Amino acid sequence: MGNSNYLSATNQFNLYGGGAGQGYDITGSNGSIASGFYRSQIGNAAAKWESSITSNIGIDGSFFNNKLEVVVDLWQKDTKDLLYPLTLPGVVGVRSSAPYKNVASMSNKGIDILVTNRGTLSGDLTYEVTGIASFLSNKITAIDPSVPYFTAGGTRLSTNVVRNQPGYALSSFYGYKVIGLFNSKEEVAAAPTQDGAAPGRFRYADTNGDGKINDDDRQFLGNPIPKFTGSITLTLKYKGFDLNTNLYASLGNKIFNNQRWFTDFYPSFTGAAVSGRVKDSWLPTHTNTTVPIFESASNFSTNTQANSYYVENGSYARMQYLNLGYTFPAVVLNKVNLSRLRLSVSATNLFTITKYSGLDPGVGGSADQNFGIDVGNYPVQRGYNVGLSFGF
Amino acid sequence: MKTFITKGTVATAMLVMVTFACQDKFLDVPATGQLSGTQLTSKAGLDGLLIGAYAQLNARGFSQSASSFNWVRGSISGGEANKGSNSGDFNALTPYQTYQILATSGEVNAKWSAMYEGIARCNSTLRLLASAGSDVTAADKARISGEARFLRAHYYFELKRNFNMVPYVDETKDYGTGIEAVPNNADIWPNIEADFKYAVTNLPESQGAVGRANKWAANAYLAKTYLYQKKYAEAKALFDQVIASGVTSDGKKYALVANFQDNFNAAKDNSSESVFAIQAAANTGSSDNANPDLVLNFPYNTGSNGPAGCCGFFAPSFELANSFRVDANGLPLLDGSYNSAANQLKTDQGIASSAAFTPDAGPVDPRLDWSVGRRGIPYLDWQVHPGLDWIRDQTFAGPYSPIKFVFYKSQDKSLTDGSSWTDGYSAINYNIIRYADVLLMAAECEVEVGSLATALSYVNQIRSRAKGTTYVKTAAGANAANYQIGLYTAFADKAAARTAVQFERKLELSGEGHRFYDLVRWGTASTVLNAFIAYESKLLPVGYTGAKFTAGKDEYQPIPQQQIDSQGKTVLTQNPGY
Repeated sequence: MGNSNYLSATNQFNLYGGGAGQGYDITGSNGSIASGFYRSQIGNAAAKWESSITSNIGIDGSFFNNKLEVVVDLWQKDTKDLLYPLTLPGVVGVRSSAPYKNVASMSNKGIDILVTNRGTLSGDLTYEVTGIASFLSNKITAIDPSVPYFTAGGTRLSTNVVRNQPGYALSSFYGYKVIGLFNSKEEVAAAPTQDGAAPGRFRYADTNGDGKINDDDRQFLGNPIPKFTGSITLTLKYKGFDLNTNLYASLGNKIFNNQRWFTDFYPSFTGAAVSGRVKDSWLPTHTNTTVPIFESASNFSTNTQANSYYVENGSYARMQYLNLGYTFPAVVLNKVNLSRLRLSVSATNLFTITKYSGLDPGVGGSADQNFGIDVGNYPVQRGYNVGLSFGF
Repeated sequence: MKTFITKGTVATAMLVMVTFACQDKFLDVPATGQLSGTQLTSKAGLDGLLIGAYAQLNARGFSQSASSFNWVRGSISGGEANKGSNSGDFNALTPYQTYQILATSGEVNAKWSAMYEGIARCNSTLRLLASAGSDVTAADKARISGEARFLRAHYYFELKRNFNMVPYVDETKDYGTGIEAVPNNADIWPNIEADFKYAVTNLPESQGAVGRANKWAANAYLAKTYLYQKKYAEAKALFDQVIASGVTSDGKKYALVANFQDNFNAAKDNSSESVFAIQAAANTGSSDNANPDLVLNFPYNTGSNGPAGCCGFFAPSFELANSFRVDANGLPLLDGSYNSAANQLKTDQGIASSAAFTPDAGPVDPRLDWSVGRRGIPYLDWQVHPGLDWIRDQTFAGPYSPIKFVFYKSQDKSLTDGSSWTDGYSAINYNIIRYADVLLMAAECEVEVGSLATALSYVNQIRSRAKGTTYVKTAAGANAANYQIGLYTAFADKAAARTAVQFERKLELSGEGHRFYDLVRWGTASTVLNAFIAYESKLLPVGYTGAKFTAGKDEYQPIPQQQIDSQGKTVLTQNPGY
């Protein structure tokens, strides 16, 4: 949400358009159409700029002859009148695009810390280490009174998977909480009424305890905003050698692994359910699993609903790069008439530590309304480079 | 030097303008590539808006299931066909054959949204008509408002019979003026009637373009609206007029065409039987004008000697095909015995195309092979239906193919749109109401409040036409099957007449999206459909797993969860049972 989005100059106007796809063969010719128009956009003349108040207290310190530098920032940014095109209710006619309206307020609070320490370990061995840590808390504080919340994101499931609602973080996931798999017909019979319930299928939490699983039982299932992001950069130098590396970590976020709809359920796309997980599917003889029964049925208790089966811990740490180089000393170079010669090897994305089961926990999305939904994004590649640089 | 002075003058002039002449108006630059207000309120502009309202009849861009054709809700839920293809492909439609539709179904939301999009376009037209330009005459206004309200009534009719309780929004309600706060707590039949009555009063008999609704289409639809409410007397009075005097928009007296199958042939569109149709056209620059809703409903993997080749959807049911069995008099087996072991049609279920198969030799209604594609019978002008080779997954879909809305080989690329991924985009009109439908609806009214003799004559008109139809022939010119059809001599009593009329509707209008709604309004949905499931699920256990029709719930689709989430539970109340 926000000013950062392109707000069309026509946002204030009702627009009407047409095209071959809106025509109709009113004369019964079988081969030609009359042009048709429809309202392609609803205008909002009242849209205005968003505003935000940023407050910030910071300390910058440098100690022990610059061997230790510390930067600490406490900040809060309160934004109001966030611009957002609310999804139109069906009765309005959803072929019109919705206007941007100033609908929401949001609060971001955080602490950013940067610490650098440099010095000499022994003799010619010097080091520099920089740690960065950011703690973030995000919350939607208000939305237009005409809508209690708005939904977005996700693919192939019956509903959107994100619900943006005051009191919760932006892009919070919303759906049924899976409390296990049904293991027997008796268990199904004893459980709250649930459409499509059968052994091996999801059992959802009866949040409101009314003995019936329906839309009222949906709940917030986590959000994709990391509570903590940080990195450590280390540089070591010894004579002509230098080593440089960076470890990045993102902790405390969830990912909605939408890919599982394709890879874990037989009927989603017949023949496409190829994840290794399906080998661990529920069977009457194999009930100690979280992976549901592999079957042709597609219903409320299988693959159609946004639920916590898709929500995974998205925390990860990744070695972003590791470089090792050697610069030949001048005394050697002079003999071969070179002014500079350097050899280096480097690796990028050397390893990732995560429990996330998708291809890559670094999941993006459209930052203004829904993100952290993995619909099969490309993983980052591991790269190796060998370098030789020289000058005459 | 001269140039220099000129530049200076312009600069000075601009400065003067900026300093002294700048008004808000200066900022009002017309939006480029858009229609201006005066263009929209001209006669051409208003007509364009109306065309846009017609364009939504096929629910283009929403879902195949959302179209006014209703092949999914009307025919599949009605037991005339199953989803077809295999279990995985577009399985969001499967709940329509098992009555396990969820409020969160995207298909439910698509129907809702598509019909309200149509309504929004009608309302746009009516709103802008209020400020019509000087080139719009009083007669134009009557016609445009009449067509817009006719279409609006149609869209609400669709919403009413699919969802029952829906919010009614007219041209006075729009975005920003409380449209999202209109609750679904009122019966909208009176609103639908009012719009159709307005259309009857304001529309001309004869229209400049045959695709436009005319006075008689409005009369027929109003009568249908009465029939759905069991207002038989009002309905009968109107049907009497429609039958006596009704004409098409291009002035043809309503009549049954000679050949039953011509109702499903693009080259024979807009016949005397077409009361109101979705006009389809091929090669217009967008396949959305060419039945995008029917594009999956062709035999599977046919190669070039079959139509389109995709995707094996909408497979006629065993039960429907059996219904065409006739007795020694050429009359249908009204006692339901057509499904007995002795009477059911012989099929090639489980038989490879390479293995020998001889089609059923018993007597069948000749409409069978113009309604159901089956092994061993010529499939239009393509070839003899080869059976399994044209079926994607027989264990899921059964042995039959749809045929009614399939184009002929001779029409490929001329009356189909070759611009997209399949030739299945065709120019065949779907008749929302055709005259045979009018006669059968009128027959229902005669049974209830009129004369059984008149009902008999209406039903026999339908059967006579079927009898006189050109039958499906083998290459040698013989009838492709043992076709027998006779007329009813009399109806013994009201109950017998009702049964015969209802069964004739099933035979005549199969696969045309009517059946489910008919069963619901007759109050027989639970009995008929559960009996259907009991029979069909033995033959196709995979596709009908868990199928059960629950009375009091499954008559209507749920209000889409997305809409309740969007508008709130205080505005939209969910239907019973969901």
